[in-house]
Amino acid sequence: MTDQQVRKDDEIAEAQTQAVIDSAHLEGLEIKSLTQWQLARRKFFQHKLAMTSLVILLLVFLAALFADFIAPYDFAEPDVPNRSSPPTFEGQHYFGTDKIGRDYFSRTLFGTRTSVYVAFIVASVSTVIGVIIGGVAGYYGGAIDNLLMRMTDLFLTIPFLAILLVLSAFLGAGSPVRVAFILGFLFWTGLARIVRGEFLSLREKEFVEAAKVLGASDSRIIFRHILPNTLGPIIVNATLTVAAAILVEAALSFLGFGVQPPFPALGVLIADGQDSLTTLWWLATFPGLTIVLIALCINFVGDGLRDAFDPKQRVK
Amino acid sequence: MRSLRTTRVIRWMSLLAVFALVAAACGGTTGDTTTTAAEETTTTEAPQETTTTPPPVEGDCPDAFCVKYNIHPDAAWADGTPVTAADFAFTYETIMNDQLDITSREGYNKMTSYEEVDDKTFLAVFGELYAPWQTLFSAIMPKHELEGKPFNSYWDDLITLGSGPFVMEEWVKDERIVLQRNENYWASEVPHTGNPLGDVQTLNIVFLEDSQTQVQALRGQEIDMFYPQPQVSLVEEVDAIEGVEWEAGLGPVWEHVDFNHSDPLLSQKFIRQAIATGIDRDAIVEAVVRPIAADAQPLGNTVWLNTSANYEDHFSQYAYDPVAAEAYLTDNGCAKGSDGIYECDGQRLSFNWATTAGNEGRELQFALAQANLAEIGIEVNAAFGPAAEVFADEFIFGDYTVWQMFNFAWVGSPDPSGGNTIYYCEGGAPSGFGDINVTRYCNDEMEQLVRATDTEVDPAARAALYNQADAIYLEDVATIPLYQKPTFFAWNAAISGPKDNATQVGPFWNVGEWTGKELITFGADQQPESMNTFEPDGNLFAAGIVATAVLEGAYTITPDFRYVEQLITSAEPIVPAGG
Amino acid sequence: MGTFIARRLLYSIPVLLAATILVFFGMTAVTDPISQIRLQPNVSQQTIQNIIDRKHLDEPVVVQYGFWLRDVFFNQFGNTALGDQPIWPDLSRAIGNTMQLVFISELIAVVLAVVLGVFSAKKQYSFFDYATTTISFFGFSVPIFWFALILQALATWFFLETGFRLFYTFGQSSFAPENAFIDRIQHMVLPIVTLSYVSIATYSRYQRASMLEVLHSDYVRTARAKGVKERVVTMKHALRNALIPVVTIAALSFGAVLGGAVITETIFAWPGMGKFFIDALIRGEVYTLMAWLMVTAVAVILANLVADIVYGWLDPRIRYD
Repeated sequence: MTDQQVRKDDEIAEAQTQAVIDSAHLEGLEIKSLTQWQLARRKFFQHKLAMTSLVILLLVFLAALFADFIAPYDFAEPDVPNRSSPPTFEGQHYFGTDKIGRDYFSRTLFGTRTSVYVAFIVASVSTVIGVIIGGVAGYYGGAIDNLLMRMTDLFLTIPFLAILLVLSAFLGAGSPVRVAFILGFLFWTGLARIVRGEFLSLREKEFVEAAKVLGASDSRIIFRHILPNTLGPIIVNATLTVAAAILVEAALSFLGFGVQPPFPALGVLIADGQDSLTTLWWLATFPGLTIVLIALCINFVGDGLRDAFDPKQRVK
Repeated sequence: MRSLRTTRVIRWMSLLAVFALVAAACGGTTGDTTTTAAEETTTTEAPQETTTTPPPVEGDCPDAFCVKYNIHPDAAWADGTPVTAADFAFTYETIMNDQLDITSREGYNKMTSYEEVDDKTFLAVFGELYAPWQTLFSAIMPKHELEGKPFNSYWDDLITLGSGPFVMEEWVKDERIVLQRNENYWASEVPHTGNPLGDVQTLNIVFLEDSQTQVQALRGQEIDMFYPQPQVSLVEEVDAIEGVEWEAGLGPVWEHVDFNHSDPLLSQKFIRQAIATGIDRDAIVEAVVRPIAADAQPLGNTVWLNTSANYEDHFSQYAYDPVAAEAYLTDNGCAKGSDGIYECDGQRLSFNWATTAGNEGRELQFALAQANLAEIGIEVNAAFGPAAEVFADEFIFGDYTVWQMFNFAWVGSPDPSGGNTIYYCEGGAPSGFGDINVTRYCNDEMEQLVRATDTEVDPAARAALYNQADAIYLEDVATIPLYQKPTFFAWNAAISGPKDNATQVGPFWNVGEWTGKELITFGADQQPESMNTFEPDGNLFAAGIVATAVLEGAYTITPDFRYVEQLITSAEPIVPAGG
Repeated sequence: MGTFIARRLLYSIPVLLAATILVFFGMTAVTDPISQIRLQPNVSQQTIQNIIDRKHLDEPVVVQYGFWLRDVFFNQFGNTALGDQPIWPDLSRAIGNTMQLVFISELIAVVLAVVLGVFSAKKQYSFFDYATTTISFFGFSVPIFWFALILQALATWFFLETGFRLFYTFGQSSFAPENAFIDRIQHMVLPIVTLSYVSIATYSRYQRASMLEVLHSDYVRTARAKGVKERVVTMKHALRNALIPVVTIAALSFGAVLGGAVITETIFAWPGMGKFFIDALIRGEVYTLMAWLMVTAVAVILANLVADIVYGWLDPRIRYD
C-alpha cells in the first residue's frame, strides 16, 4: 500500500465518519456508533496477527474455563511415588509432576483459570473506576476535574507495586478475589487520564451541545452520547490491563506476596518452580510460557484493536 | 524466590536463644525421585551422645546451686588482654541490665549473685537448681573494651574486640562484612575440636537473598559457600555443580501440627486419633525432608529429637492407617454425610489448618495431609497467613474460633528446658496457659513430670522424666509431631574443614580450622540490622555467623549436639554441702 | 525559568502533604509497628513500652501523624521502631545505589527507544518495524524476573566456558578489586539491561505512535511540500514534537521504574531502594517503609517537574510564566 493510497483511504474514512456524524444528528446517534463498530470490526478482521492471537487466546481461555473437563487429574491430588516426574505422555503427565506428584498440566490449566479470572476482575474493576473518575473529571471540568486529576497524580506518586506489596504483606495475600480487587483499585489511573481526555474533547462537540439543548440529563449525555464514542480506547486499555494484571500477579507471587496456595495461579506455579530451574525445569517453564503466550496474544489483540478504533491508522 | 519471606528475621542465630517460635520456618523441602546422588553425599548426623553435662558435686556454694567456671589460662582477647572472671561478671551484668534491650535473659535471671574467685575462676550462684546451666555464657564480652561504652549502640556496626579465631575488620553496609584472621589468637589449636588452626586469612560475607541467585553464584564461583534454606530442589541443583561439596544435618527445629484443645470436636481424643492416624507422616517426610536428609524419619517425640541419644518414639501407635482412622470415627458413632465428610453428633468434621504463607514445605505438607484426610472423610481448609498475622498473640494464643489446627515449628536447643512451658497448664500466655502453650492442652501428671526436670541435675534421670511426660503428651495426641528440620551447607571443594552444624551455632562453628583457600566468600541470605547479637535487632543469621567466628563462650555446641569447652578448661556444677 | 521552577515546587507542597496523609493513614490502616514487633522472638514488654513511648503510639492517630511529620521534615524520617536506628543513612545509601542504576538505564532506554521508534515509524510495516514491534511486545509479555534469571545464567555460562569473568551476577562490587571503576561496570551491566528492557519496550511503542502521528500531520506535509529535505523534516520538525509523549511517559513511569527495581534489585542483590524496601517489608519496619514511600513520592514529583522543563525545551510554544 503506497502513501498515496493510504491518504486516499484516509480521506474516504474521514468522509464516511463525517457522513455518519451528520446522519447521527438527525437520527439520535445509534447509527453512528454502529457504523463505527462495523468499521472497526472490518479493520480488526483484516489484521491477521491480531486475529490469530485472538483465536489462540480464545482457545487458551476456553481450555481454562473447561479445565474441569480437560484436566486429566485433580489439581490438588498428590502422588508421592510419582513426584518430580518430567513431562511424559505416559500417565498423561504432559507437563510433568511437581514435588509431591501433582499433575502439572492440570495445575497449569487451573492456574490459567485463576490468573485469567483475576485478570478479568482487575480489568473490570479498574475500567469501571477509571471510566467514572475520568468521565466525571472530563465532563464537568473545572474544580472537580482539578480535584480528581490531582488525586490521580497522587496515586501515581507511589509505585503501585510498593502499595501492593505493603497491602499483601500486612493484610495477607489471601484469595484470588482479594488480590484482584487490590490490583483493580490501583490500575485505573492510566485509563482515567485517557477517558478524561476523550470526554474533554467530546463534550465540546456539536452532537453533545445538541443533546444538551434538547434537555438531556447529564447521565444520559454521558452514558448515551459520550461514552459510546470513547469505547475504543477503553476497550484497548482494558485488554492490555488483562495482560498487565497477569504479569503483576506473577511478579507478586515471585516475591512471595501473590495469590495464596493452594489456589494454583500461574505466578504461584512459576514461583514453585523457581528454585529448581535446572533440575525440575518444567515447573517454571510451562506456566511461564503460558503467561508469555497469553500476554503476547493480548498485546497483539490490543494493537489490532487500537488500529481498528483509530481512524488515523489503517489496516495493512 | 519463595524463600524471600522465609529468610526472615527468625532464621536467627542469637547465641542466647533458647526457644523461639519459628515465624517463617526454615524449610520447605521437596523432592525428586532421583535422589541417588543425594544419598551418597548426605551425611545426616547419626545419634550420638547428646549430653556431657557433668552431675553436680557437693562443695562451697552460698546459695542453692553454683557453677564454677575454670577459664583457660591462655584465653585472651585479640588485643592480648587475658580473658578473666571480670569479663564473665561483666557479661552477666550487661545481660541483666534492665536499661538494655536484651534478647533473652533466660537462665541468667535464675542467678542470684556471682563471685570472681580469682582472675581465671568465676562462680555463678543460682537461687535454685538450674539443670540447663550449660546454655549460659555462650558468648563472653570483653569488659575492658565495653565498659563505659553505650552497649546498645557500640557494637551495632562492628564487634570491636573478641577472642575468636577471626576479628571483624569492617562492615561495608550493603556490600560485605570482612573478617580477618586473628593473628594474636590465644590457642594453638581450635579449643573445642582439638584440630590445628587453618590457613584461611579472610572471610568475605556478602548478601544475596534470592535462592536462585545464590546457586548461580556458587556455580559461577562468585561465592565459595552458602547456608541456604534447605529446599530440596536446591539440594539437587547444588549437587549438580562440580567442585562443590555439601552436607545436610538435622537441626533443633521441629515441625508439628497442633490441635486447639478448646475446640469441641478436637477436644475429643478419638477425633485427634483419627486425624493423627489418617495423615501419612512418612509420605510427608519422604517428599519434604528425605530429598535433603536421606535417612530422616518422622518425629515421635516432642522433647528429644530424632538425632538425640535420649530419643524414644512415642507416636508409633499412630502410624498411617486409613482404615484404623475411619474405625476411630465409626466406633464413636460418627457417620459419613452426603458429601463424604463424617459428622459426629451432628457436627461436620471440617477444620481450618493455619500456617505461615510462603513456605514451600508447609504448603506441600498441607496438600499431602489434606488429600490424606479427605480420603478418610475429614476436611481441612487452608488458613494460611503471613507470619506477621499467625504469630501475633491474638492469633496463636487464640481459641478454636481462631484456629483449629496449626502447623508451625519450634526452635529448640540441645537442652530442651526452653520448651517446658509448652506443657504447663498455667503461665504467662494470654490464654492463661503456660507461656508458650498454644494448644491449651493440660494434663497435671505430665506437667508435674516436666516441672521436675528443672531441678533434676542428673542427666539420665532428667531425660527419663522428659520421656515419661512426652509419652503421656503424645499418647493423648496433644499434637502431631512431624519431623526434625534439616539444614543444608554447601562449599567449594577446595576448602577443607567445613562441617554442617545444625544447632544454633551454625556453619562457622569450626571456622578456625578451615584450610585450602586464602579468601572465602560466604553468601548470606540477608544483611543484618545490627552486629550486636545480644540485642533483638541483631538476631539475623549473618550477625550470628560473624559472632560465631569472632566471639567465644564458655561452651559451644558441636554438630552432634554436645556442649564442649571453648574459653574454659572445665566447669563444675556445685550444690552446697549437706544441702 | 527560575520563577517557573519555584512556582512548580510550591505547587508540589500540597501534593507532598497529601502524600504524607495517604502514606501515614494508609499504613496505619493496614498495620501498626507494635504488632510487627511482637512477631520478633523474645522482645520484652519493656522494650515494647519503650517503643510506644518513643513513637507516641499511645496517643491518637492524628497526634502520631504530627510526630511522624515532625520526624519526616526535621529528623530525616526519624528512627526505626525496634532497633531505634536512624533511617536516613541506610535509606540515602540505597537511594544513591538505585539512582545509579535507574538513571543510566532510563537514559539508555529513552535514547534507544527514540531511535527504534523513529526508525519503526519511518519504515512502517517494514521488516525492521515488525522486528522491533515483536521484540517490544516480548518486553511487555515476559515476566521481568525470568529475563533477569536468564541473563544470570548466560553470564555464568560464559564464565564457565571461557574462564573469563565478563559480568558479575550479584552485588555491586568485589572484595578488593584491581580497578574499582571497571569492577562496578561489570556488576552494573546485567541489572541495567534488565531494567531498561521493559522501559525500551514501552517507550519505543509510544515513540513510534507519536512519530507516525506527527509524520502524517499537516505541518509536516507543509514542510515536505515546501521542499524541506526528508532528513531535516524527520529530525527537526517531526522528532522534536514526537518526543513530548515519550518524555511524558518516561516521567510518569518513573514511579513504576522504581517499583520495578524491587524485583531487579532483589535478583541481582543490588543494594538499592528496591532491596531496601523488601528488607523493610520483611522485617515489618513500618517507619522505614513510610520513609521509602515518601522518598519515591518526592522522586516522582521531581521527575514530573523535569518533564515539564523538557517540554518547554522541545516545544517553544510552551512558555514558563
